[in-house]
Amino acid sequence: MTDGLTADAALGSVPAQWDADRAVTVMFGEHYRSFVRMAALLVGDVATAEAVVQDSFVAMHVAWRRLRDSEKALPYLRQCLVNRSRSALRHRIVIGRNTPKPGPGVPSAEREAPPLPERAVVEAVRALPLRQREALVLTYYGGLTEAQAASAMGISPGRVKNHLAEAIETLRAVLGTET
Amino acid sequence: MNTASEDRDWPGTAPRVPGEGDFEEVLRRALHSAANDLEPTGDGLTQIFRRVAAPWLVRQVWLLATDCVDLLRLITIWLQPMVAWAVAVLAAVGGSVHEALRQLTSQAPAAAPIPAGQHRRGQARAAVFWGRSPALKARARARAAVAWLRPAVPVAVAAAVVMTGTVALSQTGARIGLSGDRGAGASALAGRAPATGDHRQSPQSDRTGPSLAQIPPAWPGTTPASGRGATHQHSCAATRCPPGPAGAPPSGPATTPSAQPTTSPSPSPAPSPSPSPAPTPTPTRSHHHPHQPHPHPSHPPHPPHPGPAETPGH
Repeated sequence: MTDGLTADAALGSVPAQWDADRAVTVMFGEHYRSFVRMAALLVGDVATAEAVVQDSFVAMHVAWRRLRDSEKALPYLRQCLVNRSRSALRHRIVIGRNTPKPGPGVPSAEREAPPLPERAVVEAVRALPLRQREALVLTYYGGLTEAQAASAMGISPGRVKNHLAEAIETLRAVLGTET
Repeated sequence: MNTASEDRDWPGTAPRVPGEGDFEEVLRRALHSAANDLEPTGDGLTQIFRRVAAPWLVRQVWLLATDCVDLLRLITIWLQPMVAWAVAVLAAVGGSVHEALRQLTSQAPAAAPIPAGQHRRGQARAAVFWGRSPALKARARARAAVAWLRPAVPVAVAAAVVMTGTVALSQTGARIGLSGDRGAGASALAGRAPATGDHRQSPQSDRTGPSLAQIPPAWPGTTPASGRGATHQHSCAATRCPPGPAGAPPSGPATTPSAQPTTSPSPSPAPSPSPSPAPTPTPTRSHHHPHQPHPHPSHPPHPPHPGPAETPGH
C-alpha cells in the first residue's frame, strides 16, 4: 500500500512543541514522495505535482502555529494538495483552451512516449471529471477511507461514494471498449 | 456482472476472479504501478525552505507579476484572431478603395493639366499614398506586424498600475496592522513580531502559477527536472511567512489565548453633570430585534469558501 498516505499514526510521535521547520522536515521525509505521486496522478505531470506539494508544505509551515499537531497537519496537507491540484488543473484547462493546437505534423511528448502497460488506465483516469478523479486517486491510490477522502476534498462522504461509483462505471465502459 | 474489461489481462495482476472487487483491484494496482515509477527530485525541501524564507511582500509581488504575465499572455492569445480578422478586413477594404482611387486619379490628369513642379510633387505624393515606395512599403509592413501590440501596451500599463497599487495597499495595510498590534498588545506579544497578513489567507489564492500549463504531461519515464525554474517561481498566495519560524521559540498553547489584546473600552454611560437639555424621544426601531444576526443559531455563518487555511483539520 502507499506509504505515507494513510499512516496517520506514523507521525503520532511528533511533539506539539516542535517548531514549524522541524515539523515540515519530518513530514517531508515521511510523505513527500507519496504526495508527489498522488499529485502526479491528479495533475498529470511530475513537475506540477512537485510544485503543488511544495506549496502545500509551505502552507503547512505557515499554518503550523494553528495546527501544532501531526494529526491535524496530515489532513491539512491532503486538503492543500487536493485544492492546489484542482487549481492547477483549472488553470491548465483555461490555458489549453486558448492555446492554438499544434498541427498534425508536430510531434508531441504524448505521442512520442512509449506505450506503458498502465497507460490505458492512467489515461482513462485522467479523462475523468475532476471530482471523480480526486475521489478515485485518494481512495484507490492513497488508500484513504471515504471519510478521509471527503475531508480532503471538502465534500461529504456520500458525495465521495457517488463520485467513486460514477468513476468506476466510466472506467469500466472506457477500458472495456478500448480493446 | 462480468464486463469485457474484466477479461483483460492487466500486467502485474493476479489471475482474476469475476466480481466487483476484481476491477477495483486491477485499478488499484494499475494506479500504484503507474505512480511508483515517478520519482521526485531531491531538492524539494530546499525549495520549500527557500519559499518559506522569502519575505511575504516579495512573494506577493512575484505572484502578482506572474499572474499579470499570465493574463497578458491570455489576452494576447485572445486578441490574435481578432487582429488577424481586422487585418484581413482592412486589406480587403484597402484593396477596393485602392482600385477606386486609382480609377479616379487616372481620369483626373486628363481633366486638368498640372504644372511640371506640381506634377512631380503630385507623383511623389501618389507614390506615398499608394505605397509604391519600397521604404514606405517596409514601414507599412512593420506597422502591420506590430499592430497587435497596440492593445497589449495599454493592458500592460494597466497591469503595472494595478500591481503598484496592490503593493502600496499591502504595505499600507501591513503598517496599519503593525501599528495596531503594537498599540494593542505589545506587552502580551512579548517581543514577538505581530502576525500581519493572516487575513490575506484566502482559499482563492490556491493558484499554482502560470507556468503549469507550459509543462508537457510527463508520465512514467520522463524526467521532472525540466522547467522547474519556471514552475517554482510562483508561490502559493495563501501562504505567509511567519515572522520567525526558525528561530522563534515554540510557544505553548496556554499563551495563545492570552495574546489576544483586549483593547475595546466599554462605553459605559457615566452620569455627566453637563447641562444638557432634556432627552428628546427619538423614534428608534431597533427595539424589535436588536441582536438577531442569524435566524438559525444552530448554523453559524459559513465563510465564503472554507479552504484548507481556514479549516485545517477535521
